[in-house]
Amino acid sequence: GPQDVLTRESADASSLLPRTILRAHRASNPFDALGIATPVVDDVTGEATWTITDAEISKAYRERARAVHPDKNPSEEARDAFQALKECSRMLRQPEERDAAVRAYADKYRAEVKQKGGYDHAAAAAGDV
Amino acid sequence: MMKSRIQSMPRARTAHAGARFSSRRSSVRARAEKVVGIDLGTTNSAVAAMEGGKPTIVTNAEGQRTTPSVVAYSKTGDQLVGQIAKRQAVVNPENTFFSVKRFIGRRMEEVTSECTQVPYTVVRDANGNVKIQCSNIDKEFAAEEISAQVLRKLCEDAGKFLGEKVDKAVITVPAYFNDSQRQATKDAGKIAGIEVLRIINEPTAASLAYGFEKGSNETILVFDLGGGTFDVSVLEVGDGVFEVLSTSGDTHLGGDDFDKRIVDFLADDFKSAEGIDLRTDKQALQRLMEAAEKTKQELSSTTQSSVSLPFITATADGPKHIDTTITRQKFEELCADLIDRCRIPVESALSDAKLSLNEINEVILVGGSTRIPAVQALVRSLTGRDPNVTVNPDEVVALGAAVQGGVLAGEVSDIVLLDVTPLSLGLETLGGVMTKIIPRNTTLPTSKSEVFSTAADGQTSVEINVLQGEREMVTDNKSLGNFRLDGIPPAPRGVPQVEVKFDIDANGILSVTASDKGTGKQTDIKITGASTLSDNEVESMMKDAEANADADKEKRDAIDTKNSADSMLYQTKKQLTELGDKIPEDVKSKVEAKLGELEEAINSDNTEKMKAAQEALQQEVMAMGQSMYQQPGADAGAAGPGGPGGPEGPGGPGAGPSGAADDVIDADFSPSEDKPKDK
Repeated sequence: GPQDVLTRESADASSLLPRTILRAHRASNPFDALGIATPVVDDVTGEATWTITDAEISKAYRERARAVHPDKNPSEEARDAFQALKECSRMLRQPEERDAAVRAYADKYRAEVKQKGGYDHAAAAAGDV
Repeated sequence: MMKSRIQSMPRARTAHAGARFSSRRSSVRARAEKVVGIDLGTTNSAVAAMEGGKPTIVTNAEGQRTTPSVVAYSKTGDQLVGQIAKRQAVVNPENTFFSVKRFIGRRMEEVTSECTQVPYTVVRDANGNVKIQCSNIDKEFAAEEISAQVLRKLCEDAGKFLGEKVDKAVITVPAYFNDSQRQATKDAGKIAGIEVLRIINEPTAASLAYGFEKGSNETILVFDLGGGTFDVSVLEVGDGVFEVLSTSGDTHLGGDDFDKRIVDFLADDFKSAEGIDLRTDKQALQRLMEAAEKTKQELSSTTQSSVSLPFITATADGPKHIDTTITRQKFEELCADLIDRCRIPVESALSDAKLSLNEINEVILVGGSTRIPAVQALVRSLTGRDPNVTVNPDEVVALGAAVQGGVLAGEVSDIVLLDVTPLSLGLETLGGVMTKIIPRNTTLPTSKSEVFSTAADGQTSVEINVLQGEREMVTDNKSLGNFRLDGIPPAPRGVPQVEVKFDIDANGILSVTASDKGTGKQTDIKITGASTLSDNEVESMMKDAEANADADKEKRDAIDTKNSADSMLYQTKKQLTELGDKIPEDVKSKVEAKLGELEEAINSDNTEKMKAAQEALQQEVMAMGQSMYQQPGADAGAAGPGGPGGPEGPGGPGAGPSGAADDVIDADFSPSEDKPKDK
């Protein structure tokens, strides 16, 4: 949606980042918290695949840690976001927790698609998902 | 008194991620002011600052790049810090304090062996904490105060070097220091009048200096064997982030221990030959220790070193000497078990980081003791690679601290340091066991809370004993402090819910809060209890130190005033004799009267009177100079000799008019000068 675009492109993105991380963490979505690719869910089989490496997780974690670490952003919110970021990165590096997170993401995705009455390719193409 | 305990409530234990606590981060984000990095070492300290975007070592007043962490008090009560204190240690062993880092933030029972290794007297105070006795000024010092004096000198010298006042610093501590030792180090800074912006770990600081200008992604192992402590840290460095994966160490292992082995070897040898234990003679012990350190250092580059200590003691038969040779092989044999002890932390750091040796890209050696060939050989055999020798092991820690200072001052923007807590933190629960809340190697800052309950029916208060360490039983861990939460409504055991929150800030310093979820009642402690000073003590020591600094300034002022008064007295008398009857009688008597006053002030040793008398005399001397010119028939040459020219100068009698004029201007008491120039 347009809100999402604003978040990513705003010149003031650094001040919104802690909030983005915290929101994703609360929604048990470590992918968005770290700002990395989300799992791909097959529309037909419903199976989720996620192929991000540990090195990529580290890179994403470092980039965001550099922005929300208390040395860089003294706000209370940033401190909480840093803690959330740490947890998300740890979660994705541990096989069991990572698999659980991928499954949870896929379940949520399928539920959303189902609620909309199936996957609408035309709507997706129009950017109205 | 029965101690009320709390019981672990496994089902209720919940870790609240991102729980919010009161902000403990002070808003000390200095912008323009210089923040220095200080490596406050066991034996030597170093200071660095960011200069032109690069960390640079700041030399001390003596022109040295490191300063001995030594403080001494002379017989006359003068305070000596650094090289000057170290140099007089042999003649003043009881009042020369070194290696105090081994005592900082410690309780007496933790340092029983250290106490016997130093020639000064270490005593236990009423709280069981360590105090250092100074007989020359009849005072007991906390280790924090001695460290504060070192810090004060370092910052004063740095201020002179940098040309601006230095009162903000990042100070390093061994990674394996516990909370009390960190808090105590922070207090030392406070006592010295320094705002400690951050306490960082020495190996982490070393990695900052090492990786500061490197762009590559690397996994490094820092092997830091200093004067008194040993640390190992494993870090991942890349994309401007310095992330500590694990840390391990031994706070009782360092260069001092190697020295001690040589001392014991020499002393045992001497005892079997002469029947005298030199270790009981403080002066002999101090000489032995200095010789041991020198021998150890020499053996890093040569294969044998001679020890020559003439007149080490005397018996009825006459003076006794030590004159022997120690080979590198002998030294390695004496220290074999110490060197072997370095293995354990390396292995545990790697296993905590879940890394194998072949995943380590670089091994960085830090600390003077890594110059010992046997230590380097051990690192080589442990890691299977040659250690990196591009950094200076004595300076790299201070340089890294300066980089972190730059980060905190906003001067360095693209770097962030993610450090960990070296030891697990938890509390005592039923049965004298430690329940861990924050496991070791957790990235800082962090906070976590868990819910506990009462252990007995009707229990209305719980005592929270905060612990740090890895062992199962409470007694094997370090107690950081106790506090009590009262006013829990009586209920069957297991019913009340007490939430305990642990919060570690970026300095690695802990605060703990407990609240009764039923009543909302809350108590908290900032951990200051066990082996650290209370806020009041720190405050009074700070005032003490400031007063002493003022007293030192006054002393200097008194000496300077006396010197200038003496010199003025002499010069004026000389002038009076030289000019003789050329001076009008009334002028002369006025000068003589003021001279008398000055002499009296000097004799009474009164600084203020001396200053006043000098000023008064100055006026009369100027009047005298003036009167010389106003005399009819006075020639300029007559006034000339009043200046420094005197008998040897070119401005003596007979010098030309221009020379004479120069002399008047350059004269000791020329009107434009407050004080005599010529001393």
